[in-house]
Amino acid sequence: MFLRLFQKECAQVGKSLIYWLYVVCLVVFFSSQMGSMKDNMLQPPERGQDNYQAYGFKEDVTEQDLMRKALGELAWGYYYGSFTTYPVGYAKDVRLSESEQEEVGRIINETTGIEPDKIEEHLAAYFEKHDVTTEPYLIEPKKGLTYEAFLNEMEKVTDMLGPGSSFTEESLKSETRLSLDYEGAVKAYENLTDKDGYTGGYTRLFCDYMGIMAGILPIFVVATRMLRDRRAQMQDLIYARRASSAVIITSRFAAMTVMMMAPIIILSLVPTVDSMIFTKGSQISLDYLAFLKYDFGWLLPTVLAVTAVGMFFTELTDTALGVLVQAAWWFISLQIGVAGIYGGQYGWNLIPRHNTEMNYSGFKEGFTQLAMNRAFYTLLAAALIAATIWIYEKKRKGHLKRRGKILRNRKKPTQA
Amino acid sequence: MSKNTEIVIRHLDKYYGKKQALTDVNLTIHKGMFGLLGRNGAGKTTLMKVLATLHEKQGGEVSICGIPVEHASAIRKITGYLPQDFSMYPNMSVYEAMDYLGVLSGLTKEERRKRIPGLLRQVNLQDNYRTKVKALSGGMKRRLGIAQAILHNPRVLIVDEPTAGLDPEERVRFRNLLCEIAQERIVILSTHIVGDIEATCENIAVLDDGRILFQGTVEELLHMVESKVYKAEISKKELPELKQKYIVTSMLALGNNVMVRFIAEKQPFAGASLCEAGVEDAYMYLMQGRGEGTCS
Repeated sequence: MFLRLFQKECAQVGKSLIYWLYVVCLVVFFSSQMGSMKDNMLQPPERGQDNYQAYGFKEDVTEQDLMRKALGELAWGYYYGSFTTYPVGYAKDVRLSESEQEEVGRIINETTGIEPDKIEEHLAAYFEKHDVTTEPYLIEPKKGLTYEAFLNEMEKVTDMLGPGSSFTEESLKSETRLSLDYEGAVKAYENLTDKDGYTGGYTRLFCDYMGIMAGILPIFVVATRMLRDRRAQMQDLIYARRASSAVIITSRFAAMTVMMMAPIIILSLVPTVDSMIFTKGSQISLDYLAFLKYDFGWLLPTVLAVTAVGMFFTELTDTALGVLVQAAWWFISLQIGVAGIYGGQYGWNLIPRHNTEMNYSGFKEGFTQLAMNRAFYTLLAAALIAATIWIYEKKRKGHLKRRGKILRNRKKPTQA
Repeated sequence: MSKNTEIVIRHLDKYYGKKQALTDVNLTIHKGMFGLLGRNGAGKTTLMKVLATLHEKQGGEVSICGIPVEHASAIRKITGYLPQDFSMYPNMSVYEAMDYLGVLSGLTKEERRKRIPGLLRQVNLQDNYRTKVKALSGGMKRRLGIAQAILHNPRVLIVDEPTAGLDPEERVRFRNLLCEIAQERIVILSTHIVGDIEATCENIAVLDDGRILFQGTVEELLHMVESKVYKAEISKKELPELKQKYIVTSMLALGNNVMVRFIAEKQPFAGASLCEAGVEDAYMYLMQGRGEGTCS
């Protein structure tokens, strides 16, 4: 019965307008963010290139690097009289009072030895040698400045700037990205071609983009499907049939998951095919099945979790509450994800980020965490579906109903 | 499968929170049409839902064809249900809707292919396979409702207020269809329309405020008002007094006069003449409490 019902449910989802809106949104998002990359896929690095940013960032960022980056950023903000903070994920322009500006000037002098009125000169000299459009402003810390003393001063800056400051140790560690040199770029490119099978990197980038959509769009399809029974007054008709609650709910869950994954799988063929075209005639050995591994290993748990959240809350409340819950969760996940956007720091985020085809080593390093993350969301989905079955069974026997005839007919005190 | 074809209800109690919806209901229902009559809110739908396993009882015993109602899965296999507010996914065609519900009833593809056309023919919807459910008239929808309810060939069919809102022609057609179906199974028809019961059921029960007021045959119900139904032409001024004294079951205005049909224990006045009792008269008599204790 499960398979027959599964087919029927797939057909129902396939015939709904909201599902096709879901497909259109996926395609539009994919095209706008990634699209066909065959004309601008990564070539091997060449010595003497302007920069090697396309190949990723330095992995071994030292305390000295952190200090150089932070002090450059501090001086930049001081010079322009404006600092950017991220209190709830969105950028906020913070302008300090005169006394606070003076204090920042003192901190710059204390940590770099540069007099505040000499910063303009230093800036100009620095960008005479460096490309202002691609390279960050770095200032060497004063000789003898310890990392602890530096952090103490940054704490004072953070107090002045308020929440979301980029000068906390945590922000500095996650945001300090320094360009690779030629050797580093060669090693990163070899990782992409040799260890990642070339397609792996691009499919990970695909997962990064599609994860954002998979974290929110399925909820609309799910809520619509689950509310359709009530809207069509089909609940009693279905409740009275022989099919068990487990079969009804799991067949719907499976059908919605399959229908939701189908366009994702098809779209994931694009980077694979692009890689095949781009590397044609080269010695690179492609991983032809990378798209399947990543679709199922990376994106499926997100789709499972979102679908399960939608089914659970819709069944529990008979409303579209699941959409609100998921929208909030999605928003928070995106904000949390910004810190680890270039991969390697997957944590327990619903939408793990890896916004680059590079950083294979970061992926490898964070792989265990990512695997645990994905397993957790798969188990969470299973638990929510089990709870949904329980709720469905209860409602089938007349419990947990909010819209019964008695409640419907009960007059409010003012009407009585 | 057991050949037992009766529904036995003993001391059934059902509550919604603190409100008691069914109180000590005792009924035995045999093969054929069985009518459950009662005013709105009497507990008919609740009783139907208990039988269809859509509500759990709090007390008493209910068995359908020998199977306790607690065995929901087994009960659902042998019962068909047409709910009061029958509807289906509006964008599905008639055939698709039947096919979907057939799958939920556990029918194989082959069984569905064989049964659905026959049933649609039986309910006179053979020309509407591809018609969307939302395009069906009220009567057609109810007939589709019957077809879906007997799709898996159940031994018991539970039909909750099926004729409400139907035009007279559709209502007659629908009653005939139910009678046809009842030849092979138990059909429980719940309604507050006395005419439906009168035209189709031999055995009935009257439910009021969650209690059974009467159970028996239509003849037994009629027997309660035998030689008690009168008609008389009176002036409109006399009507309020008559209404106070007797149960008035119908009135027909004739200029300044009114032709009144009413129930009285004995000859009320000289101008009143005895007439043949109808189920509606008996029902009214019962609901006014006059029939209490006179029948089982």
